[in-house]
Amino acid sequence: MTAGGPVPGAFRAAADVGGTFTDIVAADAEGAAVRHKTLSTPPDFDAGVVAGLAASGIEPLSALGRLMHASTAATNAILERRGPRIGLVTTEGFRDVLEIGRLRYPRLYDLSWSRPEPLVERRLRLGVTERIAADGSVVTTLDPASAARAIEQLRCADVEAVAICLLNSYVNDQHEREVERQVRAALPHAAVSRSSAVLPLIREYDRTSTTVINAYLQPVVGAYLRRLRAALRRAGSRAPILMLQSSGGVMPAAEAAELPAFCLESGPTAGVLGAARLARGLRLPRVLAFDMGGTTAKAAVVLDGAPAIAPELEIGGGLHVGARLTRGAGYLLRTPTIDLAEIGAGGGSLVRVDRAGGIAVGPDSAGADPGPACYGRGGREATLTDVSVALGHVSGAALLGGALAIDAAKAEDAVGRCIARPLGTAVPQAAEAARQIAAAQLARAVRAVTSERGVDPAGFTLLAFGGGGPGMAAAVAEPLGVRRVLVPPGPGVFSADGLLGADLRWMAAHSPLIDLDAPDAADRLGAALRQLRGRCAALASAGGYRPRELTFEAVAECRYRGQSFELPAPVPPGRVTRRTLAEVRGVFEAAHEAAYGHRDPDSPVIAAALRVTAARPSGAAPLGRQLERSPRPTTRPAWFGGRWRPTPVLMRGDLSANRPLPGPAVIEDYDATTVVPPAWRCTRGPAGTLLLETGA
Amino acid sequence: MTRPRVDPIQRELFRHAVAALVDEMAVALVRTARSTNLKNSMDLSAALCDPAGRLIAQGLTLPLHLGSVPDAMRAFLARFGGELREGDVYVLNDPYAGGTHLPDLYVAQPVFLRRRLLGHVVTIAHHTDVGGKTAGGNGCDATELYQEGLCLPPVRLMRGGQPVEHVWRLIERNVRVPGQVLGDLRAQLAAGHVGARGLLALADTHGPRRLADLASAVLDYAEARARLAIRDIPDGVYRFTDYLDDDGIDPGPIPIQVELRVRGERLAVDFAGSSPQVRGAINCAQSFTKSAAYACVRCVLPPDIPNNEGYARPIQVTAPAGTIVNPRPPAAVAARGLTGFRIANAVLGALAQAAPDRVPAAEAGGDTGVSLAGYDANGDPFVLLEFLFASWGGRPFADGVDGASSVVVNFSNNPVEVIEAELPIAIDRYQFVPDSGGDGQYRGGLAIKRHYRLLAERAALQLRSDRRTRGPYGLQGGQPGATSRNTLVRNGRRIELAGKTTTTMRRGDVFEHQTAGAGGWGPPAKRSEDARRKDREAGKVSRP
Repeated sequence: MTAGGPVPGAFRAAADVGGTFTDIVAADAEGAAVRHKTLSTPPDFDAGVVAGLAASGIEPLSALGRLMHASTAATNAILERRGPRIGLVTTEGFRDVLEIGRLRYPRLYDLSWSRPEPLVERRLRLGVTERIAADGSVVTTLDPASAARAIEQLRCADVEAVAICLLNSYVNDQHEREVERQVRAALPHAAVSRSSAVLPLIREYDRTSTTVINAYLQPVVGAYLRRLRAALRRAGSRAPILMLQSSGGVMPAAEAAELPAFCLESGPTAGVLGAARLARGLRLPRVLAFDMGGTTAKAAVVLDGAPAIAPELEIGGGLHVGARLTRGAGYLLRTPTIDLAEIGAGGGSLVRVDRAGGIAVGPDSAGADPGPACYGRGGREATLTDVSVALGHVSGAALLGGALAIDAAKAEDAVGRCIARPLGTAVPQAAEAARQIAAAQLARAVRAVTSERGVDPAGFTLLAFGGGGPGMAAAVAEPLGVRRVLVPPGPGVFSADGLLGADLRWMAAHSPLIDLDAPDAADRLGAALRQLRGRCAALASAGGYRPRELTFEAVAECRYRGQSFELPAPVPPGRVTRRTLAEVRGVFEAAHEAAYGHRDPDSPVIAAALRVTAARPSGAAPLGRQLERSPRPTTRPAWFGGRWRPTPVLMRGDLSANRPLPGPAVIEDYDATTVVPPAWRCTRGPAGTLLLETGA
Repeated sequence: MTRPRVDPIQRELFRHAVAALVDEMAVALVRTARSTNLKNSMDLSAALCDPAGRLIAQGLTLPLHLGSVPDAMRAFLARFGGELREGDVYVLNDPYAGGTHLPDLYVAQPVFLRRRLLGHVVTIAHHTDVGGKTAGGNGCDATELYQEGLCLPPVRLMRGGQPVEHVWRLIERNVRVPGQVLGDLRAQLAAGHVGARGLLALADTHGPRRLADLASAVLDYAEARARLAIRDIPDGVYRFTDYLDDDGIDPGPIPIQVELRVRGERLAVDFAGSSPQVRGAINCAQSFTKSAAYACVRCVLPPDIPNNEGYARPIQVTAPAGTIVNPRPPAAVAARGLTGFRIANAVLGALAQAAPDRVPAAEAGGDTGVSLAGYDANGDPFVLLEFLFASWGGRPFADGVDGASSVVVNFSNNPVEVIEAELPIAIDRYQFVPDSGGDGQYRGGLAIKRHYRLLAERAALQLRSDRRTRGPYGLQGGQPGATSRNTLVRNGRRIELAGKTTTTMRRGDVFEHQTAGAGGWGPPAKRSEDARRKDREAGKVSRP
């Protein structure tokens, strides 16, 4: 900071609000950063944000230039069904599309499963007389009286939000617009989401579900952001708020209140953004982001500095292998999303032995209360954290600078009772087995985003963060053939770092169904892209950003005619010509061959959906680092490979950049412990990271 | 147990590793497959077997494939057991020699490490076409296997890593869509490749000699889990009979009779008393019958028991030869999927008496297969083939799920907008049918109706449906679900259609199908007022 007082707007800050903790990172123009972890303050999360900002040294708060914000508030509103009463207007004969979904259920052989209640109850899902054909022609003109009847029913039911989704509206939205006009006139105070405005893509269930989620969240997110803005103003800040989207960019708060469906589950997204930023900074072409917290672990792929994007997301979906293939467990969002696999194994996951001697880790968790047995808050069952403590990998002194007391005897007792005795073995052997099995399960989450996508994880660098990631990373890497692990500084608040560097992004999409071989294909594709770019630019201008500052990217989601899955193919910039079409086809076919092992040069290729993204780079300076040294390096016994071994316990600053420290070793941070197993070695990596390597 | 004792920790690591491996094989198959059937419906399975052909693990899978791999391995080994070579791959689909119906191709590859046989990797995939009189190989109007397409006894597909040319050529020449079929067959090879690589890695980790012991230990573990779970089921003999309407040729009904015997840690499923085999193509090869029975038993056991042969050891399935559940050649079997659903209904009906707190009333789904084929305005051929599912039966603890795939095949539906964008067909309606779920303390799930309007000049409609004379059963006093209905609407006239039929549709005709509704559980008098009020408000039930 310069002398003579703060420059207005000199600070940027990121606030990542989770259910338990609010992580804040504040940085000045030079990138000098302060990180702060504070308890969240539900239900009024804004209090925690303002308190956290104040505690992170932004003085006065008017010096805050902008606040990047990620929050689980929207996701939780869905999971806890805390949203408003909502209605759906749809084509007559299709009111049950929302409830029938794709018919799939998430777990085989489980007859106790019930579908989560649809966000709109059946009596408020109302059909109107109208029909548009797949080519956009009007088969049955909208009957305004039928719309009026439906709207009157919604009015009588006091709905606060209305979703509108008519069949084939992605080709022709004329009827949807007319219904919207009638709804707004009759229900001036209701939030309204129209599917052709939210996401004009083919597939009626996907579009309906996304539009309904959007309508459901509009009042929730709108109110949340108004409260936050008011709280910031009271504290003296008029900084703009930018909300993180699930696809990785941020959008202005006003827009997020209109399109909240794009801002779901943004916490895990922020960590992957951090990984992408670090990958770009260190020029690592292939990175696996591995985030392990208290109850779950997440994995994502970052190729050439860009996170892999999945076309859809399920809120409240399953946490098990295969769920990503079957779906059906939660609420579907057809919005581009950072491709994350999640698995129900974290530090608090329970380790259990069944009656026939089988060992299972998770998905049940001891949660925050009572938590692992070693926390001494009444937990009796063994968790993965207890396993790490029993092995000597984690000590009480380490966590949160010793603020969290660890009772090693309680951990050993729980591991002995719950694992070792049923297996007929001793505590350390049992703990090591549980650790190995946990590693195998976590490796499956990584395979879900690599092998399942046709990417071989060997040769990647595993970037480990979250409270538990650095401890398990090397063990997870081994079964995957991964030989490099990187642990960023401040692994416990790494997500907030990622958030701070996020770019502004706007997205527009459309399903034009263009046959790339058709004579008018170049004209149609060109016109559609121009329209989508125009829509992005309009959104950006509305937020006060100049279209000149934007960089555009276009993606065509293509498939061979008759297929049911699309693959994304980037559209090169510039005017669309026949050559462009050939290039798109070439990229699509190469992707098809990579994914499916063959191409079909004789088959027509259909561009089923187009997505245009406009980005405005954040331009934020990289954050500075200060590495702690331990006052007195120690050694303690830790169990590796079947025996107790004297294991040095160090801090980041103790490591050398060129003299590798051979494992076993333990590196302690304020908020996480990195385990370096035997056969691995550790050096101080670039940008304050720890680099673990194995093999030649 | 006489086998050398395996350290339980090593066994657990091995168990998790093989489970991951077969899932990876299945995913590789989905990923590299060509046809939408494999990609969308995941009508496929992947498995790992030991050198003797014992099933060690089966991956993300179609429940109805659960028991068929060991039978296929027996057929492969009976033919090639003495001459297995590195780089060989074998294929079969003969329903009377290890297969279940012709579209399901079983592909097995022995895996060697320095000439030591480590085991076999196996995949099953439902192919788009195998020739025969009906495209798609699911027609129910065949009366002999010979009409149903190309039948492959166990034959070599690859020798020493090279394709056996004449077998590939033979397949290519006998199917309607060779590009898709050979493409999917290559996907099976690719999945086998993934499996072989993984098995070699396991041999590297554990030592090739240890694999057999570990495999045995994993089988013993699954067996122990299954036995413990069966022990919790009260001893007794439980009988149940469910019915198919007819086979589309001769009048019905066709009984599927089950006697379930539980004694200590053993469970027997006996199909004695089921209908003799029928003329229509809904006969069900024995290994498919077994698969259906295993899948249903799994539904009442803890879901985390590994999918392997050890699980099946305490379960004995018997089906008398010459019946619809174990026909003699050359009985036609193409549309045996329908019978598979009914076998599952019957087995669950018997299990419901043994474990009344766990088993739902009969579901509604899978019975209906609709095929609409014709030529579009450009003269290009089009085919819509879809299987319709509706809902689950009422359960001892909750209503049946409205809108869910079958508990024995987890297929998804086709988006209306995709059908309309690609085919000259409009879907006029896709919606629940009020009052169609069996009443009960816990209501059965609702039927779903789907209306198809033809926009092309003409098309052949092929319909395979059931539950038209008798709705899915209720349990413990619950009412049966509504029966299914088929109506052709032409120029405003409504023509009722049989459950299994082939007819011609003309432009503007609408074919209306209504699935059955699911059965209810428990006496209707015990249904709570609150549940009834909610049903009325939702319009799921109109009666007071």
